[in-house]
Amino acid sequence: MTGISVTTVSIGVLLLLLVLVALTVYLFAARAVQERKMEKAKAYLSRNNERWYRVLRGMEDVSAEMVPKNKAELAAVEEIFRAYLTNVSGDKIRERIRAFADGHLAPFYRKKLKSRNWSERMNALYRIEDFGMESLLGDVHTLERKRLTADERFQLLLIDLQFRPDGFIGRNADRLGNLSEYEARQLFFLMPEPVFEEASAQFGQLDPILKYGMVEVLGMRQDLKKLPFLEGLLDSEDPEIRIRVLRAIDAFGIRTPDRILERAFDSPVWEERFLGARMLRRVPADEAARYASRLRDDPSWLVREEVRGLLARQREAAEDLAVLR
Amino acid sequence: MATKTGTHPVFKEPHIQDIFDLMKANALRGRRTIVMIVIRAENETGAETASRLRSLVRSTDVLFETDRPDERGVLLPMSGTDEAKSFLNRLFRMEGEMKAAILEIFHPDVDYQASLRRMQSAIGDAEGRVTVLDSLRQRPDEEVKVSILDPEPLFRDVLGMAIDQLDTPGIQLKIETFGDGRTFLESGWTVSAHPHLVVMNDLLPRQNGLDVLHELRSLPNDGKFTILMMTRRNSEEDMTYAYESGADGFLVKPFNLRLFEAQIKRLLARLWS
Repeated sequence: MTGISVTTVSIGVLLLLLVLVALTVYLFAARAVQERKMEKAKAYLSRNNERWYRVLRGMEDVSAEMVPKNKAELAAVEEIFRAYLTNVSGDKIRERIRAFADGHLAPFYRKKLKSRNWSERMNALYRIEDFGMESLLGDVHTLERKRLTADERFQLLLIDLQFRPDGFIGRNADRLGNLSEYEARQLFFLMPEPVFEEASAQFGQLDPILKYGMVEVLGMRQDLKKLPFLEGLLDSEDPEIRIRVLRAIDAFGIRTPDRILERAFDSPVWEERFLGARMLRRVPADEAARYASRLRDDPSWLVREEVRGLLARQREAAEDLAVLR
Repeated sequence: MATKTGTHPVFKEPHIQDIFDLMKANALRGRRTIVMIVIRAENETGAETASRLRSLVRSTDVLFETDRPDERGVLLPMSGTDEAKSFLNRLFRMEGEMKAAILEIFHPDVDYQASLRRMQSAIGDAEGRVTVLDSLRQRPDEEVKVSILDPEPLFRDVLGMAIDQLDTPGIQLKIETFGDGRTFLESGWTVSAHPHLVVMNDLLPRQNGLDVLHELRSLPNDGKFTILMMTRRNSEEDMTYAYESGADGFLVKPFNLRLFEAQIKRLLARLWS
């Protein structure tokens, strides 16, 4: 019988114990480092929170003491800036943050951009966008030449959009097609109006994912001036675009023009007929009933259900009105 | 107690003193002011002056006699100097030689007799027809509680500092910040008769802002709360709902701090309107 000797087992157990001890020591040390960092950040906040308020509101100038000396203090400054940027607008606060970040935080982020650690690089890219740090654009362009993850690429696009909006679409045409639908939406949502106009002028050449994102964002923006543009897209051969266009028009919350309703009802795609039926809720009762009669025998159960629900609601409303009279 | 001619009684001493104290207490409780006007018409009797005044006063105004036969007085509740001047303008459109003094009352220690003497002496010394007397006393400082509810501690501090640095004469602000709705409601900070300004985010941990709004508005003395809601959602529906639930103001984040300060000042100014 071949067995493992007691000595071997003992050595194995001893090694395991050693690993365990080393791991425990490491965890405690890491925790202690983290706590020390948090204490430093807290101390910075309690020293400078009020001073930052006065600086960002233009009541006094930045003092040397406010410039972060280490990573913990940098985290504290980031936290302060984020609190202002996400909750407060105007009053030159954004400009003051930008000036301070460019002047005093750039060395920290330059180092982070060169890091082999992905999260460090991402963190730096987020902050460059948040704080509008123009001084790091050169470093960001250097980064573009390296092998990057999709998240980093997208963050680079957002930075490019913020600092060089002119010609953004043409410059990044080959990269925009790789975005996810969520990223495309986010990009269009953050797009300044002239760039958005440029993109909509080139709608036919855009990748489908960008077309979908743009239509969705138009629906979210509820800008009635864009209704003719959206209506024009109903000629598209891609049913997905037509469906999203109808959804965007529905999101406008207006009484949908008859010509759009007609096109929706005549579509061979059930989703379009369904959205047309849903839009009838904002059409006067008698007209809605006339349209509904066309869809009563629709081959799609969902369309028939939508029409049935609409007619039932109108009946209830008419009965309520009769009682009131 | 009162001379009843026509429909509006003219009160005499000592009753007018009690009425004066009652009106003063009532006005000050509601953070309002009252105005005392004394009119002297040397060419006519007090009864004639009273008759003229009767045609101008509101049902809530109080007419009174002084110790001089050619004088009559009026107490205008919930009014200020401007209203008193308009009142006298209307009165002086009628014929007759008259002089008057106006005193705005907003301090609990103002005494009827002392005020009357000051006004009578001012009328005697004055060359113009209308003399507006200084109130001599400052309006008493009003303690106003301010609660800031937001999940972000640093932003709570920003709002606290913005409010703390506001110039609010006559108002002492006592500011407290809270990170969630339940801590605020359970803190006991809401229990007092002081006017209470609540600046609150709609989304809060544990008990959200709209819940807190409902709870505050369901309290028996909910009138003391002035509630300013903050939200990140710029939707008309949410705003309508908040206003319908009793919010006094609404701010969409991110907002301009100067706009915030202006809103707070406006809401505080309404306390003494």
